[in-house]
Amino acid sequence: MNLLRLCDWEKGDESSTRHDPTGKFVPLKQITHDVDDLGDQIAACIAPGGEDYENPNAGLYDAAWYLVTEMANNVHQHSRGIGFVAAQTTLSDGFVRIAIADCGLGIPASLAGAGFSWAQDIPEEDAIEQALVARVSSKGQPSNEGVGLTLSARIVELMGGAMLIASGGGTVIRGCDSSLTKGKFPDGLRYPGTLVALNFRRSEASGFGCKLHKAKELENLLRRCSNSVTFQP
Amino acid sequence: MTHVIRLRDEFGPRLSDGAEAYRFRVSAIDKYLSLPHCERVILDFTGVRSANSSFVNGLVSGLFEQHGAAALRKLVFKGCLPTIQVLVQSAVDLGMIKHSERVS
Repeated sequence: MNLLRLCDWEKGDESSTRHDPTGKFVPLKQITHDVDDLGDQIAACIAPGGEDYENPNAGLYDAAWYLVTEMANNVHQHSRGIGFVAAQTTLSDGFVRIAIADCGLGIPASLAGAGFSWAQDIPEEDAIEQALVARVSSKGQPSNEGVGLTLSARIVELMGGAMLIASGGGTVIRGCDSSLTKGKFPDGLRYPGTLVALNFRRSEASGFGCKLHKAKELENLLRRCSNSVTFQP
Repeated sequence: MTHVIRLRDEFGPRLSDGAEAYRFRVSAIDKYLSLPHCERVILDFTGVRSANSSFVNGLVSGLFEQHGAAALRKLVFKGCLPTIQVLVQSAVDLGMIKHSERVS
């Protein structure tokens, strides 16, 4: 992960070779308010050239940008904490891995603080599970509809990946087969913020637009007979 | 009268902040949908490379939740890349669902 360079170690004998990180990994980045640029930096590193819509990497760029910006928005808007994001992609197994962690309120406390009566006394892993349900948002109204985490999890699944969410004392793993595994940290340990770690197959990201459409269908966010919206070229 | 809003000029090529989109919708779009002599409002996405659900829902869903079918008649979405078109369509559907829930 470019550790030597990040530690300002530029001299001395090295028995290993430093490789160009482009397309392989993204150094740890703090989530700032400028989520657009953060998403662009990470997506461009994972999918070089994908900023150009005609490039073969455009789908991978879109997938990475979408997931990073939706998760980073949550850090700002829901958790009200400082967050960090890192990403890595390996050609050997063909997976992209993205992790976002913040030291904010955490999902259970955030939902309880939003005034949902059902969120007051439920186990923390159940609160995390509820955060994966469309249109459940700790922001109340006006909101952007509480679909960010929901769609992100579904898109990851459609790209052959999995998502781990840890917050408070609870953990939820959403598998690539839609399975949900809930658990608790051992020995009463707790992480007050939220960690989201996800992976997906690079090869499955090329049709990102179709995956996004399918994800919205599966979450009942598209009407069977869609309204006749006027689009112009 | 036709009112054109060029989103690239307002926000740049990437649209991700749902709260910012909501504020813009309330301050810069809603009023044109209410004006009787404004026949068309064009949301021009030309030059926008990326958008996420948070932004597009924040910008679009509320218009349809508030104005219903009248918004369908007045609003035109121009220059959308295919991925953004998916986001717009679902934001419209979501708004219309919420509009029908309000009416009933």
